[in-house]
Amino acid sequence: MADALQIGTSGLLAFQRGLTTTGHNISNASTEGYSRQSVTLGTREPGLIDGNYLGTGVAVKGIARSYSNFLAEDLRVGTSSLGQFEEAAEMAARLDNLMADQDRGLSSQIERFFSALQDVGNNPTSIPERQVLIGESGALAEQFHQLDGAFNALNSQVNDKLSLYVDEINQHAQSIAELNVAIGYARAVSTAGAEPNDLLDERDRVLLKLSKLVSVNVIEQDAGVANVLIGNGQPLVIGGVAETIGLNIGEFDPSIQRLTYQRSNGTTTNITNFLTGGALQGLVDFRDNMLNSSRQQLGLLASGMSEVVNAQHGLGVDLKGNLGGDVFVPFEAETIENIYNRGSAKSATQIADISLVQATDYQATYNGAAWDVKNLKSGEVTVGNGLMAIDGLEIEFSGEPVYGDSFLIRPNYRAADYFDVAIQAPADVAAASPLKFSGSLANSGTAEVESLVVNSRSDLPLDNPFTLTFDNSFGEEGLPGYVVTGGPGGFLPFDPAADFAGKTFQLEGFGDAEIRLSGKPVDGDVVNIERNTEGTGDNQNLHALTELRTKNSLLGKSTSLQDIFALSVSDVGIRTRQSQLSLETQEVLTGQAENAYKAKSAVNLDEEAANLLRYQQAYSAAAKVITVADEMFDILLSTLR
Amino acid sequence: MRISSNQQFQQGIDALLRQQAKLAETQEQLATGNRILTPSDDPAASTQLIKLSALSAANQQFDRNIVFAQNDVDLSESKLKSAGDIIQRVRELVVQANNATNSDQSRSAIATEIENNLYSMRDLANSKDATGDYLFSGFNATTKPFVKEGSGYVYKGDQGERFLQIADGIQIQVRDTGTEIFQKIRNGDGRLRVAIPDSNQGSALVNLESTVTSLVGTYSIEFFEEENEPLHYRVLNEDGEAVVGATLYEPDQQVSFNDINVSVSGSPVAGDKIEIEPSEFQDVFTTLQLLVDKLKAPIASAPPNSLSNHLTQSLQEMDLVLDKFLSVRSSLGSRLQELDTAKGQNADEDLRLQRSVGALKDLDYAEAVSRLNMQMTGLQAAQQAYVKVQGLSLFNFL
Repeated sequence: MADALQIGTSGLLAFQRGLTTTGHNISNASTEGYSRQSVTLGTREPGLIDGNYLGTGVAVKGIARSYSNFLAEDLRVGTSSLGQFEEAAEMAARLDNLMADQDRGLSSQIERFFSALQDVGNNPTSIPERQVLIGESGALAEQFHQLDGAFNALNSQVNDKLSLYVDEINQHAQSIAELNVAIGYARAVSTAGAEPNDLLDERDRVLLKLSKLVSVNVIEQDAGVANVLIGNGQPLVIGGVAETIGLNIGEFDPSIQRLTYQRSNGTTTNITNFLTGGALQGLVDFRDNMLNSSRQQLGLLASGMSEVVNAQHGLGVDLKGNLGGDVFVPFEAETIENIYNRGSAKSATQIADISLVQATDYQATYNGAAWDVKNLKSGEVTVGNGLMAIDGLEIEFSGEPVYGDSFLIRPNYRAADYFDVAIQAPADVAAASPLKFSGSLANSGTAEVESLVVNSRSDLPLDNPFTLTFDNSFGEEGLPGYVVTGGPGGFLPFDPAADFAGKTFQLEGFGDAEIRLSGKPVDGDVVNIERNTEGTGDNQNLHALTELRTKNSLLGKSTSLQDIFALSVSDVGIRTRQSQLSLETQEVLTGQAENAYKAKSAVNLDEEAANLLRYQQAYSAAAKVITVADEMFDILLSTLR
Repeated sequence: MRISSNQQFQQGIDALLRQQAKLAETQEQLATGNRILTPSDDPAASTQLIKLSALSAANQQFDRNIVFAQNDVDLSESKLKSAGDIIQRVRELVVQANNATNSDQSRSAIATEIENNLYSMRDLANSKDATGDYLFSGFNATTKPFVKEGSGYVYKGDQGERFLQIADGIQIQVRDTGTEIFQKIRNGDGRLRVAIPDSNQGSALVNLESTVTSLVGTYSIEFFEEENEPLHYRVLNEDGEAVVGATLYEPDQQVSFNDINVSVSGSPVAGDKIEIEPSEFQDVFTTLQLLVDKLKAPIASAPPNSLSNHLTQSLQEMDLVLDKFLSVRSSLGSRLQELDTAKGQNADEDLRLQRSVGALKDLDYAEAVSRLNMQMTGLQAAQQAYVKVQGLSLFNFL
């Protein structure tokens, strides 16, 4: 009877634990990261009575959480990837939105600039049209600044977020270290070696949050300690100690911040390129691949615009008869020294041929004997010393470099920001050609100049006019052609019978002019070429300027100004789309990992309701056992009375 | 498979959110009428749209250029028409003047009228356009093209011809220079001209008609009498060699050689010469001025028939001036035609561009509306399913 009473009591106690645990599960059904717990029951040690082992009731063997290390690891990996793609997609969408209306913004402003050029061409002497052209040039600069400013704002957002995430990572690391200590202590004080389930859940929850920001490698040790590694093996948490990561200004550009790992011994390591996964990498990827690329493309458009427009404008003459000045402020390529350089090396970069310049940055690193200049977009490396010509750039190195010293070369990154109007007065618009030609009225033949195109500023403005005089039989061989008197001199062979439809000659110097002659001249016919003075009604240079709109003048003469921008927009569109697709795929994958994890660990209320019923019934039954034992005792007493 | 309550809840919510996001996008598409809201919706089409809108803007500018060009060409055309009218009037006056019954006084009156026409012609040649530029001074737009220097008119402009761009790679000439229109006109019959020395004593009337195609040198028809012989003539070339040997002169003589026909009537006398020279460019003002000078001179002081000979040649020259004006006008006319064509093509091109833009960008409303309906139904179903499923719980039965 006493045994039955004890057995009943053991049941009551065990099922009470069961009810408590079920209650705990129900209460925490919505707690993030909570793993459902269950009571493990076992029989108590049986007693040997009359040669038989007689059961002595039930005992609580332990309270375990439903948890799989493997599923948790899977979820953390998935969460890191998701964090990375979410961040990248979110930032990409902002850039995408920025470019959405640009067919009405920058692109149409470029068209307005070229339209204004043509309006001046329609009316070359008129000042108001020239004023409008200068106004449209200013508006173009505005558009460049606005878009570049928006890019810059996105870069600031990247920096703000980086700093926020770095703080969060450090906080999480601290929490994990503290939890490691608490878990170790809890395990030590439990005599039966019980697991502190709720503390373990808490640490898993923080680890998951951490892995959303950065990919982590969790190594569990005995005594319940979880060590956390990031990057390529930098320990973030070791036992109860948390290291910190930080943000430093970029070695080249303060606004391009770098992630550093700070050891407790005071050393810092740049780990920007070692981090994988997580929102941090999403941000860095967005900045280094998408945002910088868009800025470089916009910069190439800006520097290309100013370079080619200036070049052509310089081949014209303005209302005062002077050769054209710059329309836009010329952009100089940037060469930035690494702040950690130890040698005395200097470097400078010139844009030698804008048509070959790529929309990318370059990093030059001294390898001990020569400079490795790496195209940061294609990865192509050119090795050299002194003056190096790469992609239309002339990069010059001097001084005494030390191994590892480096420079960042940015041929166009800031060009949109620096883009500005140089031309001030309407009269400075160089609409006219610097040379003009005329046939003498005394000519008996039909000698004609079809076109005279100036290609350089050499020998311009022309000091003295020169003449082409037709000679039926020149020199010993008696060739027909034009004798050039003055200017470049020489003889231009021209056979009226064969060449009357037109023949083109290239002059040496004197504007490197291309002259196309046609017609049937007769002996003694004269063509005069002179400086275009008072040619206020001439619009030839404006035609040449207008043609720049569609002329393939950039990226190896494969792309026009207008195309560069379209290219940039489509680039952003494609990359945004890619990042969205990656995100959607990752959402599915991570969703599966999460489902598997939750299927194992999370609470199902129906299940708990059933457990509640089960334990309640068992509790009632155990209580009944006590009642029966009590009655048995009563019967025994009444018999003895 | 075991499903946690939290999961069930979250999945329901996620489904709702996804449906709502899709619905919102369709809603925005419907509100804007655009299929493409950001470049990522269709990167290829976005690029195309940028290019198309650039093309469309360029097209609009070409339209403006065409209107400018039309105005310019129209203006030149009307000026040249007036110039032609002036020459017609002068031609009538020359015919009128070439009448032996005219007195010095009436000739002088005619001369005055021609002189006035000369001034009108000069003013026409010095016309300005709407912005105050000289129409016919080439690139020297602010320089008055024709000014009187000494006895004649000098061209101060240059030979630059203004073109405007009316389509990609297509430029059209909108201005002709004063040189081309008013200076490059040949005198005489366009190939050769007659010069009668003032030293002639006879009264030969000369009319030259030539069909030479290449340039020829100078010739001289000389009249001479040998002892007891009637009047003879011969034709010598510039080297003094006889092209036509001594031939008896008969009144209304046709002298023909080397594709040159000279009819000589009247009474030349021995020692008279008729010089034939290659014609030269002579600007219209000089032609008119020479006429005025000849007509103003008293007839008695000049050799007989010299005025008549000059007027005969002047009539040929008037015709050449008219030919010149007409040829420039026909060139202007064909340019106007070309401009009309270009304008039409531009309009077509614009329509094509609009259509392409529409095809790329415009929303298919029927499709979008049915999609909206479907998405609304979907969202509704998800909401109902969510509420129903969430209502299920074993606790309801405890």
